[in-house]
Amino acid sequence: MSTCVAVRQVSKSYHDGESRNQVLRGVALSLPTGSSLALTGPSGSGKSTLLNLIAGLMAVDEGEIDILSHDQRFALHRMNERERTLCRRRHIAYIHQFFNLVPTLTVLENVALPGYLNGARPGRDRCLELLARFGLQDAADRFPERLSGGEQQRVAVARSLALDVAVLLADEPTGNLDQDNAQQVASALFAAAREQGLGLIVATHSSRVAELAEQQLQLAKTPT
Amino acid sequence: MIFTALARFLARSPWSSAIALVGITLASVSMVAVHQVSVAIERQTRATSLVELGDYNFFLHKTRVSAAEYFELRRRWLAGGLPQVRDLAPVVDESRFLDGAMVRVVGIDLLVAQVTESMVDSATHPADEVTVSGFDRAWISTDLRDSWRRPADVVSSLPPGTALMDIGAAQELLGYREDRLSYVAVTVTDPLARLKSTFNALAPGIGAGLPAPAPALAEIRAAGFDVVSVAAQNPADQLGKSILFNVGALGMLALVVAWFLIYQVAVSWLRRLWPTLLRLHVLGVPHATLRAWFVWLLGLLGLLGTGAGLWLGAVLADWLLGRIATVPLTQPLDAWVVGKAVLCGVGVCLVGAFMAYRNALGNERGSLCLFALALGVAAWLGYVWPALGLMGGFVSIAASGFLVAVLIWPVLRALKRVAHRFTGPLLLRLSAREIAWFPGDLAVAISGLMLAVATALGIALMVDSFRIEFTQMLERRLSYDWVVRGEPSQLATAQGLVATNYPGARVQAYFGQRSRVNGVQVEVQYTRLDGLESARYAYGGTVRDGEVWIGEQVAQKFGVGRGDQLEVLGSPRRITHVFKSFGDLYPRLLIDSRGEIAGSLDSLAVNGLPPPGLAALRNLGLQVTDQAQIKRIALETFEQTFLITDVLLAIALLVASLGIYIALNALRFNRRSSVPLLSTLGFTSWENVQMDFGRALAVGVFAMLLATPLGIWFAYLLCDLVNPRAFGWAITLHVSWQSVWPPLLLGLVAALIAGVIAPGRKENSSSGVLS
Repeated sequence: MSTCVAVRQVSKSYHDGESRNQVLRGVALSLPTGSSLALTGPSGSGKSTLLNLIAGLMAVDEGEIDILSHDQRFALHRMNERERTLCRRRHIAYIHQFFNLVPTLTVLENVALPGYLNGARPGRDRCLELLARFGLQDAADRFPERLSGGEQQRVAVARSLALDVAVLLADEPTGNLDQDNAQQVASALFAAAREQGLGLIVATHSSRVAELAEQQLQLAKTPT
Repeated sequence: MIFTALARFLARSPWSSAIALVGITLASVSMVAVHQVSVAIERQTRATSLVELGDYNFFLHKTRVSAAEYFELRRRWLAGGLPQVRDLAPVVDESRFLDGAMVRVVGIDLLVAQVTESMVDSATHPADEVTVSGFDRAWISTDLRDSWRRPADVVSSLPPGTALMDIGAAQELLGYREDRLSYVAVTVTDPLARLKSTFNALAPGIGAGLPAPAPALAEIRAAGFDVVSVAAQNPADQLGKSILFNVGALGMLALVVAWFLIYQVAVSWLRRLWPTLLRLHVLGVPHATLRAWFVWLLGLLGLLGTGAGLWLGAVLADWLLGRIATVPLTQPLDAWVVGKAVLCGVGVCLVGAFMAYRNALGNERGSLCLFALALGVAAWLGYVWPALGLMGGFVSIAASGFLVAVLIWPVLRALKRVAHRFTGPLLLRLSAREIAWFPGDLAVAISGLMLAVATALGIALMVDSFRIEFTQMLERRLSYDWVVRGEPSQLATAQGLVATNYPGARVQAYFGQRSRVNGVQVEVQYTRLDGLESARYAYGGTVRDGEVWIGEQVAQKFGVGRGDQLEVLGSPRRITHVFKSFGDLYPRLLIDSRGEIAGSLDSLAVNGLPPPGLAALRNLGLQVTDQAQIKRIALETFEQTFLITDVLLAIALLVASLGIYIALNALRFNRRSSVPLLSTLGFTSWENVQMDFGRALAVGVFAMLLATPLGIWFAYLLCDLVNPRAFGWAITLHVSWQSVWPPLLLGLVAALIAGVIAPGRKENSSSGVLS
């Protein structure tokens, strides 16, 4: 089985004035295509930072990150900000804990957004079909402010399937939801990833969510 | 502790604090500059009127006013029969050709205390030394220094062409019997005088547009007197005040746009501070305390901005006055302007901060419908009620502008409800929707930009329409090559000389005198109204005896028109034509000289005269003026008059665009959640810039869509309402694309620049990092 995400000896630190905060040091992981991984660990252990590095939102200080998508290998550590952005746009989907939807776009437009960004014009039927998979077809023309937190997260999951991406990253996708909604969203997320054959990496504090993943990687706080 | 938190906010957001400070400073600069310029123009205007008659606001006139009638009025006044009248005095005031110059001879009673005091005041002018030397001497204006051949002192404060003297000396000089007067000057008590004076001190020039008292002097009218306002006696003063009123009204616009900007600063700042304030509130600090701190913080910023604005505004005013005036008009900042700047700069900061905080807490807005209705009624009343005069015109303009401004917020809210129907490219759709999404942040800024652009457009259309008609009038009116002026006897000699020696040349003789018709001083002109002369005044018919052509000002003052009868110098005449009279200082009547002529030879107009002929006229000591040169000077003066308008509008536009910049920054702050999301989805930096551009474009287009019809409406009101009420000139509105696009483009560019500069640096640094 091929590897869709390969992280090798990655380090990252933040500078705050004179002080330097080492968040990740020598992290390595390998995610086979179609499998799932849960990142766990205490707050400040670098879960979100690692996801941001894999998404290309930040550049690594040291180490290498490769993304394999449609038989193409993308070495994020060698790319500039623009190249990483264009790679993310086409090959990576990302779900945040909250603020996942653009408030001024309707639910349907939010789902269609990745397609628009990639120059395609996704059909309304295809977007409605995706929404229907998550029981949201009736909300298609509403704005996100009219949806509950759980519904918004399910729309975000639907959107992540709008393009044929290789990797789906989720940062605390259920952290903002009650238990029932969290269960629904997590199930939908893992089921969708399995069906589409995506590599899924979830950063979570929830042991229930982590148990749904095939692999777990626990990060510890890096001593400064 | 609260202060520390707020002070750290100031220190940690230097860019935002600096922009807020610049905003308040710029707003203060516009207020101060407009005030200083208005004060200078008002002083210059006052110099053209006769200060010695300054306290009298009306005069009583009939064809023959005798001293006996004056004493009868005085007896009734002293007996308490004229309670509205505070003072009255006899005056002789006529224009005559004396010693080779047209002179306004004003005879006043030198025993009246207030007149003597004013004379002493005028002696303090440094240009000339004045000695009050008795009842047989005259005081003359500086331009008469060389021509006047009688005992006189030169007084620099007198309007040009004026000779002031004792009433007896004036009667003797004019050949009047000793009991003949021109009119009786009266001071009618104005119950609103103090209020008007305060209002005018705060907004110089605005006082000229306030309605004058309407004296109920029925008894006097019954005695056959016309009660005429002093403004009608001195049209130049009226013209100057009208121009000043225009500047004053424009100043009010700059003030309103500045208020909008300061409020925008308050809203924007509060938006940034809100998370900190909310956390403090959660910890137990009451909103009232937090609001007080916020209000004082903005007040402090207002104080700093106002101080800087006072200094920079004075510098700008000096520069402007240097550009438009040939004599130095600089004056120090007075208490009124300092008070006004502090009141606006600091006061609006305090009130704006208070209102912004109140709105942030979600308190109910006042009844918008009632406010809009009141504005609509005010706009309508100003338009249809002529008694409101000049002020009515501007009330109509201001209320229309505010009406559209207050409707922006509900319109944006309504747009949000239909926002899901917006189509088009994704970036544009996103940008357009964001405008509707945050009406509270953008409505005020859009209102400011819209008002500035609408005013610029309205004035541009009015000026262009005016320029078109003025140029057409000059083209027609200046159809002679040369105009010759001088003493009547020399002009008569010149007329004969040209007729004898240059048969190919055409000479048109103009006879004239200043006289009173229905109490109003008018210029009565006689000339041969043949084909060429008819063409000059755009008249197509033939002229018969007993007819008269009147200028627009006459038509407006007397409420007469074509076909009506008008009594001129004792004989009734039928009005057959109303001509354009832009630039005429006095209302003018034109009568065919083939009938009876009153007045002396005033000037000659000459065509086809060879250079030797011109030299011969000059050798007679006559003044020969090239008409092309007159046209050039007239157009230059026209453009110069409106230079100040352009500068004031530029300031208003600058202030408005800063408001847009601040509003768009607030919008960026509102988008702090969606920016990282879009970044995560793969928005590039370039696409983010495009979003900024798109948003600014949407704001600009929205403001311009509202500004265009509003500006055309302003122009219509200026041409059809304000100008006739102010000057007596009707201007046909010409709406041309050439006049419309520059203000719209400027407004759009201002919005775009405001939208794309310094795009949220903090947002970029935090892209994608949400936890």
